[in-house]
Amino acid sequence: MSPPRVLLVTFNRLAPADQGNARRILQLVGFYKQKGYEIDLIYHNEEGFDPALANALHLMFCRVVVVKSSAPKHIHQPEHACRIEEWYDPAIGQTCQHLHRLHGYKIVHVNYVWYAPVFHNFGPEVIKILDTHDVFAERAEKYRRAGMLPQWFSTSLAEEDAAIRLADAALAIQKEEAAELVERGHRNILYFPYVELSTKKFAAPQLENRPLTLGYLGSGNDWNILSMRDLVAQMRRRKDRLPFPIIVAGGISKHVKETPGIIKLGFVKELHTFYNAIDIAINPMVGGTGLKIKTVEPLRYGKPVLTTPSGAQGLMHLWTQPILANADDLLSYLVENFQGPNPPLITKLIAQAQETRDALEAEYSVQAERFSRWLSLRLT
Amino acid sequence: MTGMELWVDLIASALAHQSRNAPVAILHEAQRIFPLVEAKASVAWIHTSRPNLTDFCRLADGQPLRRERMTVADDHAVSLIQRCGLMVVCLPEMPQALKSFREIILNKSSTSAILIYGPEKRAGWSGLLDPEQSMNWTMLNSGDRGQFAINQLARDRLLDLSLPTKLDAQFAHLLMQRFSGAFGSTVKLETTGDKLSLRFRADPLNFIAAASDALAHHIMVEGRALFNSRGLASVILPWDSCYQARFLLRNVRDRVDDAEIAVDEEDLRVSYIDYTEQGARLTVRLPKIRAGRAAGLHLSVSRSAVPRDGFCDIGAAEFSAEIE
Repeated sequence: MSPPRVLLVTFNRLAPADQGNARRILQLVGFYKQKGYEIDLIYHNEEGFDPALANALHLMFCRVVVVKSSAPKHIHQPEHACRIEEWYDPAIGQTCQHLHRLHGYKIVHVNYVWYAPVFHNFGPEVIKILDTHDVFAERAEKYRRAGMLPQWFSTSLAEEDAAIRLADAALAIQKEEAAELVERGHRNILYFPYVELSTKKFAAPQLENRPLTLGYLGSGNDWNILSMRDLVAQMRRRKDRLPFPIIVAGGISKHVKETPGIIKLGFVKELHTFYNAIDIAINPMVGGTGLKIKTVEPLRYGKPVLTTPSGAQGLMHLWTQPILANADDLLSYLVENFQGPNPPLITKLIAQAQETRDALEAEYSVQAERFSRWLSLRLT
Repeated sequence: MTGMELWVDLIASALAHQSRNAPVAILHEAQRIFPLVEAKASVAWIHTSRPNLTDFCRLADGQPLRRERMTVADDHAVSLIQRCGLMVVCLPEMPQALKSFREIILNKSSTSAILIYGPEKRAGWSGLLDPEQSMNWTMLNSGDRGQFAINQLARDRLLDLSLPTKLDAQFAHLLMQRFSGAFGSTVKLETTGDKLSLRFRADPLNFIAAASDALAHHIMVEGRALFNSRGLASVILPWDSCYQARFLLRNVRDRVDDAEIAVDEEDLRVSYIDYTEQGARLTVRLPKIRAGRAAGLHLSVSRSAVPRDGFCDIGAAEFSAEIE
């Protein structure tokens, strides 16, 4: 008997997976593959398609279908309101129906709430999974509260609720988001945290002949830009200088001003080369929505993380490392504690990071097992 | 046996019309295209070995998809055959293919409409249909064109069409009338003298094929029936009785009167060419293609005709095929 077939729908460029949302999608791809499912992909081409991506996707998926994006994607101003029916591209539906007739999918997995209308193309025999990635209802308000102009998708509670109801299971990446959706009356919410498989053990750095090195790796999204600009502003404002460099890598690099003490690496091809070059990761987030994957990622590579409450959002219940109130506090913490090598503190940070990673992995195992059991029950 | 495949395509599209949401499986040794049934249903081609060329189909105005082609050994083919509402089988020549196709037909004979076609005198008929099951099958002979076998379920679905014992112009008109909605103005029946033929104006993307991954990628991204940068294009021809193809070659930068054309190892010449504002309109008379054989037409224009900064493409295609 052939294994269950999954149809995955995404607009995200999955290779290179240098954006948090792409990494999250690949986490679910890995989950399905581990269960032995076969996965076909509809790539709703919004982030470009080239031979390198084509090749990478064909290695990852059984079948790759590219659909040209033609949704109007209106954003109604001044309220910055988006309607799901204007962001959903009906061309995807036609492709879904064609593929479903030929391949008889057991599971359809879509990413982001405005893709939920995809589910209308499948009957009750198909399990419908929506990965929400974030809560998008009244998201514009969160931007306004941070003094930013709203960006990207934001919709009403009613529209988001209606879309979530189309799914058999809606995955929430954060425990808080899952609780919020349950609070709104949804009974199909499954908390499925983001973790990455550990690839390196935690080890104390050898600092005899070199300074401590901090690092930040992030994409060039609005929240990251705002956060790094805030950190740089605080660094310039302060009279005391950090006695060690901060290495900045990823798409964010081009948005960071030349500043003494900051070394910009730009795009890094392999994450481990970046994390091998640093001792402690920082994530000075000033706000944002969804889980901050770059807070979790350093733990995979055996590096402790210093972050702010926004950076630890969704992880607070497991987090044992220091959380600094803002960028200024983060800089103060670093200046106070790392004027010279501070092996006892580094050892402590490493122990806390190990504890956090273990707790994250344990929680992921429990939640993945729940999801897995639910899928198996539905499939039988 | 010529002229059989167009009938197969017409009848299969009539059958597919009645089981709209079920897929159609076509078992064929060669890489062929039945555009009429493909316009009606989601079609998968099941071969004995994987074809060399990548070909495409387009859903509405979307980007082209790779045409679904799989082999009989593919697990996925088994599940597709279990779900299909109609199966079309071209009587194979190779014993191994005959064995594979026979197993599939025996497993499916009671649950889906099946249409088998091939030359009347090919030995494979007895290998494909058990004598004890023959009462479930209706044989339909179409003179020198070959023979159909239609199982009970397919026959039942066609009952209101009163399937004739002889496939003739009247029946072709009946089928076209009945299903004109699906074809619109793209398909026309024409009578020239005592010959009835069908003219099919096609989306060239549904017929273009690529021998390399790079060209397949360009075709999918651009959504155009492209030549490669050396001026080579491959087209899969529909039906065995297709006697003429016309192509609009766009973006050619030089005369293409001496374009090299080959079909099934036979070299052809351009029959007629007209240079217009839209491009070069090229007509080529085609040899008879046997039902079981691959039907790739390979077209090569000179390097000087290929623009340095882009690609030539086939902007429009039209195929004419004899019916009677």
